[in-house]
Amino acid sequence: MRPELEQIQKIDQYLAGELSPADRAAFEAQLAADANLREALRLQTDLRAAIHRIPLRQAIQRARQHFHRTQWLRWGGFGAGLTAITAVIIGAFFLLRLHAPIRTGLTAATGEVYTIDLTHDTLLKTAHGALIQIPRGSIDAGEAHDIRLAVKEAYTLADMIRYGLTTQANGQPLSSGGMIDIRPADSTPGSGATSAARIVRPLTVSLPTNRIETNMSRYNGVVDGQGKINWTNPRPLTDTAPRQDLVIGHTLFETNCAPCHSVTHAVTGPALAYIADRRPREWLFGYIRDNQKMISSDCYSQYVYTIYNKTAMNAFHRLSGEDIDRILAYIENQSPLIDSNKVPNYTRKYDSCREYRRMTGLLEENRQALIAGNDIRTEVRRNNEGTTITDTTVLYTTPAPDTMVTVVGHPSIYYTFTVESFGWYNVDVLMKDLPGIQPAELVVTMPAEYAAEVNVFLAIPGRKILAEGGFVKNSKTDFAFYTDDGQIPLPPGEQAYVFATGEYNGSPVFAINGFTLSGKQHIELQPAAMTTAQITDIVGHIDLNQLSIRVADSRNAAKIRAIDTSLAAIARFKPVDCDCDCKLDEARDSAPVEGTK
Amino acid sequence: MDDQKIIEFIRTGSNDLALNALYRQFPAVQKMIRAGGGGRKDAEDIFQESLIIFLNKARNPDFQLTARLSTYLYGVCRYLWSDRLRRRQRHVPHDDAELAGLSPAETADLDDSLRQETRLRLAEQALNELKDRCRELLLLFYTQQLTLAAIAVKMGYGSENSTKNQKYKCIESARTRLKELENQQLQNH
Repeated sequence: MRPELEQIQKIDQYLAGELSPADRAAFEAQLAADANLREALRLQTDLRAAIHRIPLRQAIQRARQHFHRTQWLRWGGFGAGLTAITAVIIGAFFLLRLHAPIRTGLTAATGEVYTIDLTHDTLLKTAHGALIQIPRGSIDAGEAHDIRLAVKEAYTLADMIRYGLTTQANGQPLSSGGMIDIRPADSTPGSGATSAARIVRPLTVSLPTNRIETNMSRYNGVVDGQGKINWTNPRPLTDTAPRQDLVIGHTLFETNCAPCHSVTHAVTGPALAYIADRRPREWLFGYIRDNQKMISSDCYSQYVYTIYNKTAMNAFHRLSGEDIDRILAYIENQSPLIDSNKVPNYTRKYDSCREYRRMTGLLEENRQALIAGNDIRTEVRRNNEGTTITDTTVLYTTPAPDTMVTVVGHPSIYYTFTVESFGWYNVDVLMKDLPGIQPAELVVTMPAEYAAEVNVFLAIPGRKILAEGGFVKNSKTDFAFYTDDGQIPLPPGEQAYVFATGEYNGSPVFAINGFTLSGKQHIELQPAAMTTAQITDIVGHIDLNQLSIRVADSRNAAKIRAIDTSLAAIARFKPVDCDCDCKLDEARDSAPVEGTK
Repeated sequence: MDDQKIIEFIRTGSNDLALNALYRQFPAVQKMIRAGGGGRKDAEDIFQESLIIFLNKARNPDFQLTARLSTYLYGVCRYLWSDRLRRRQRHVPHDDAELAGLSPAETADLDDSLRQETRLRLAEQALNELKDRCRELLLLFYTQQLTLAAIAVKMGYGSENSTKNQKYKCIESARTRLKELENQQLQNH
């Protein structure tokens, strides 16, 4: 290790308390004497503290997002100090009292009609479950002893539209969990007797609903001149008895889920509205209890995980089935807060992804077949006819050492190099004790990304020797040309070249370096993407003694490029913001094939 | 959520829960900073800084709130904000510590935190400017406490040794950058 790195290591170990007492004392003595070391220690101390800040900052950003995304919900309630009237009522039991006389002239289709005996207290339970308490004496119908009441109940937006009902509180629209309209049944305009009926004491109306909402209030209804009811004087409800499982589900949701999820909005994780309709129950249980396990075994899980930035969810192993059901019940209960069409449908996107994978899979398969049908990436043509070496027995019987480098062949994709070396020798000739050849060392280094994609050669034009390189033992960047430790007999003082041919990222790459051979050398090659013309040009300017290096399109290059175009075109159908790359499906598809290998 | 519960969450590592609750104080802080002529970015900055200071303090088992958490956080923000204004050489009311509702001990303590924060911000910047792979390596090692062998596998380094080497190289480039940043800051003042 470099001395600078040694120092960094020492400080790091000191800060981590990993030094032995003796080393520690020695280090501290050094610190006392060396201002630069003290400075380095201070910088590294700060850096260590700052590294721990990174997750903290990320957590703050999550909280910030959570806050801004859920802000409007809070402001919708009464608690935020807004004027009480603009509040949203979503009531478990929506209680209203009509102080005003029932007026004629409101339009609507008829609801249910009930006949009420005005001489008794009446508790009317309507067809849809609303309870209307009509104490004796609360409706003044003149001489009549009974009255027919038309009751319209609306618990969904559709009902409200059908009956033409709207709610307003001092000019602001109210959203509500349910509405009810009560009026004398015969009080059409101009119809006489019962139109005089009016409510003189409050009626109490309870509407059933499945939703609970802490911010709901009790309003008084006041009918204005146009026969519209204005809801005034909101007061908190005290007499509600929400469903117990929802209350528990709500608490469980707040403690376990709410840090990352909202029912209505995507926060750190997706919005959960209508989740029980969107995903199978077993999947939900599995994902809640151990999402990492699901992600490693199920493509859809992996897909959702990817959409949400691969943020790991806690594994809730300890939630009982009953508790999960309560949470799901609470979510279902809160789901109508948003339109089910506004919940992103990941299943649909997921199916598009699957289709995309299937199509690209087919094209990839074709592409691989075409690549397999190509020649190798760098083809070396040798022909020893007319060589000047007569002692061919020695040439061809030199046994290769065990440590001989292994030449790696690469399949050609778009380009094929051809090295024509008619009349040239291979590396064996160097083993022949020819005059001027001595033991030497030669290693060629290049960046790992290119080293994996090229073939490397040593050419000694004066002797017509061409040797192909292979990796030095345990290296992915260094090449040797005889044994894998870089040893090779060479003629010192003579001109030599090393060159690399191959392709990288769809373009031919090439590099060549000339040098004078010596006892020990370490040559760096820096392959670069070039056009075929550039490569021809470079090679043309070097005297390689009839060794020729040519590059051309591979046999199937045109077809492979056509497939590439199709792949790019298909990519446009890939759903956006979605990583469609699921290795699990591929694993499943290829499973039977593996068994036969 | 009550104050003690928030502190408990911080001490048990449930930062997300604590922060979600703490962020509810943001509108009040934003209002104060707007009133002092600051923008939304100032408000977010100051507020987040106060969260970091508070979280670090709350982790210490000896830390005790002397007022309600919302009051404390508001006071810290107020103090940080007047400090920032002073740096911008604007008029600041003289009794800002008193205004912020902080005791002299708390103020002195905050001054320490503030100096520390300023230094660490530079260190954070140096880390941010590192190559992604470097930062990831350091995070895996220091915050996720993975062993070098595990990191070697996860990040595709050849061996434990080359991972170790890489780690020190990353620290080296962060350290060099931090030194540069500190020098730049000295020149600017």
